Amino acid sequence: MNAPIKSLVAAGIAFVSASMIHAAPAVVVNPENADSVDADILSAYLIGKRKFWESGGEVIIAVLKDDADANGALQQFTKMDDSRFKSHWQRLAFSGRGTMPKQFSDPAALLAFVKVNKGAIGLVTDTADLSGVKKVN
Amino acid sequence: MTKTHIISIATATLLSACSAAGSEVSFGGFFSNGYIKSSANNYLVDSEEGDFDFAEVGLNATWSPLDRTTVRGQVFAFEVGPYGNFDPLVDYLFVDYSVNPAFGFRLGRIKRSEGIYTDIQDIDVARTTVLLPTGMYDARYRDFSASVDGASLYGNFQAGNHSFEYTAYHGEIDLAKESGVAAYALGEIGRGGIQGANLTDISANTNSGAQLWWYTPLIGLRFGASYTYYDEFTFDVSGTLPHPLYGPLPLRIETIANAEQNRFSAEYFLGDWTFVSEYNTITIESSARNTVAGAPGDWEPSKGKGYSWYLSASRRFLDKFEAGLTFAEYVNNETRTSNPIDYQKDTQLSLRYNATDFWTLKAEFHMMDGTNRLFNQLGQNAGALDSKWNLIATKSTFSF
Repeated sequence: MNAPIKSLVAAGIAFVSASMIHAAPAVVVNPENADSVDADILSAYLIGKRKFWESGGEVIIAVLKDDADANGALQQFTKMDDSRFKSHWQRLAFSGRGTMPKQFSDPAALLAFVKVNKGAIGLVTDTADLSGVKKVN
Repeated sequence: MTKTHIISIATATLLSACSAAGSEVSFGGFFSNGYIKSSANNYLVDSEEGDFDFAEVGLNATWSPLDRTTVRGQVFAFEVGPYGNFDPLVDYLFVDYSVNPAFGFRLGRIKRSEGIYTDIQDIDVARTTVLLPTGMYDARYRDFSASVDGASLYGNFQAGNHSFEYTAYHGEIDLAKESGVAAYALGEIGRGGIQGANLTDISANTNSGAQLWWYTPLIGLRFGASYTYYDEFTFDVSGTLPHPLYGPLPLRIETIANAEQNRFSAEYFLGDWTFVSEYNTITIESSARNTVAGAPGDWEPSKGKGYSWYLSASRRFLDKFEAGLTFAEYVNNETRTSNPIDYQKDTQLSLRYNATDFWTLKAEFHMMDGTNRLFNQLGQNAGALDSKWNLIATKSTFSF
């Protein structure tokens, strides 16, 4: 195989590999939060069936908007896409049964929010800098 | 405990908690304005001419000052034709304590749980349609139908792949002479032959109810059942009774009514599709006494049962659009179904456009059959009614 063909094959493999790498969802909480979170409990927090942590503090949900990877994470944990998730929470919030999740455009802003709010739980991807928060999934 | 005490306790708790804790307060709100035009009859507003008097505004706040404790409140104002008049009302204001996910309680002015839409009837963004199904959810009843002054228990629990959610409540309700319920009652009582009927007094005692939801193992599918009991609605109507010899005689009709309502609900989210259906029965047991020219008659008991149902399908498309088709039927009394004054059927085509994250636009077309939901309390439908009529409704809603 001559050099140009080798380069072309290598580039093709690199392109295919890159396109197959998906960012994995990361569920993060404040580092002071000692609660254990399994998949069922995580789902219950995100859809509003559990509104308080075991320690008694209010659960404050933080999500990214217009983010394909975050949308995938929502789908995985809540079985809802972002539009359905928003509508679900509007139903809860405007009927006095819950507090709307905080929406962020930027993962760094979301993570900064989780770092300073003890009751916060955020959905990002593992490509973000997760230092200073606790990943629970 | 009176409703004043309950509201006072909730308000005092809110204020004391405000001064004691620094927890963040979350705010939300919405404003919507619509337009309704009908080919005949005046429905909800002065629709025959076309009317923009179809608006609502709400501002809510949520705060968790103590562990497992939340204080929630919403101020609301609306106008639907002659009803509401933008008089601000405390839609809800309560203290919510959650012992655990399976058990919590709320105290204050609390939202009623009944079917899919009772506690979210203001939330345009949570549905495709402008108008909710005729007879089952009536925008003119908004001032009394959404909340009670009392307490509720609630919770959710899991049983294998099945999940259940319950709410039970009890409280007092307010009825005003200018309310939509008063208008409907006046119309029904007036059908007995009274002329110049005028509602001189209206009151209600308590309202109790329970709602159970079953979330099935099939993701997105849930079923619900609710029971509601209204204790002692009283109506006092005065007018005249035509008499061939003595001319019109003064007539007073006093009515005391108890009502119970059963509702069965199904909702299924399947990808971009949403399917919703509900069936509701209402049984009213009443006792009425006529006093003609100052001479009271006997109290006469009566019982009537009505029903309503609807079936709705909607689908999201092109990311920002939703289209829906709904058929709804309301029958006031199951023993009288042939005269258009006894029923109202509505075939409804709806289109929704989510312009931005916070702005939603809707338009819909209704093909109506029947006139039972056309009120004449304020002379809106004084002339002959068309039993087959059409209506368009549009709405623009901002929410944050």
